[in-house]
Amino acid sequence: MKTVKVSKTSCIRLDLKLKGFEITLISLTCKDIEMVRNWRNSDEVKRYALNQNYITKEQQEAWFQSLQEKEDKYFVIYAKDEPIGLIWFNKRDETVETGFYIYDTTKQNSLTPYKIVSIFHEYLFNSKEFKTLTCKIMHDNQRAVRFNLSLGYKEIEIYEEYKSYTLKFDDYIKADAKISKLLKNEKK
Amino acid sequence: MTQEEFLVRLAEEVQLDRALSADEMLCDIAEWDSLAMLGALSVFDEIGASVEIDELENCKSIQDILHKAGFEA
Repeated sequence: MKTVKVSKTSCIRLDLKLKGFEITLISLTCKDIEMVRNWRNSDEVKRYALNQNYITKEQQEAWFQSLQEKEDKYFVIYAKDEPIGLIWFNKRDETVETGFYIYDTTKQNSLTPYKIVSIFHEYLFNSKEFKTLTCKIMHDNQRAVRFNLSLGYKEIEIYEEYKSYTLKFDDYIKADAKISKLLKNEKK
Repeated sequence: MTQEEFLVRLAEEVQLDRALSADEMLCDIAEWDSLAMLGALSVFDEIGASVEIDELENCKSIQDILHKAGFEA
């Protein structure tokens, strides 16, 4: 992992790259936000988003600028140098709310989501700053429910449109031990 | 492990409440998602068979997976 801090301008944020399994997570910059807006407004992604509203260019720019004042961090997901999705965390006191989506549908039912989350969770828990991760999943997003349960997340609360889940460090360690072993167990 | 046993284990890992058959296409299995792929890797690991992730992801059918696991048609 390489971390390079650059000056905080309206465009460039902390340049953070997380790498592993031919996946790279790179801090979101203003050059990415239009691409991300198009992803976010697509039927495939919007379908499972808590906010179903269409996002305008102006709203997207205002949102990106607002990130300067927050501890929320967004990363574009690259698979073999191709941008395929977005992953993020929003700090909330001692917990952190995470989420991600993969726009490239060819990667959704593959092992790519596990590779992405393996890198990301390792980064979050190794930072020692967070002991618990949370996420929200729409009721009809069964693929995400199955996926997150396999990561060690536990359902904690049910709301009208979604359920919230929590991943504690010990549960992460147990689940990640199996997942990491399988992802690295490739034919030599 | 026999082919039948492999298919039973694979169905368990995919969390299917029915049996898998060799002639099924993966795109026709609603539950064939990332969890199913990880489950397939787990069963490969169980029987001591090795497979590249790319090879597994390129499988289009249960038969392809059986072939990778070393089971002949």
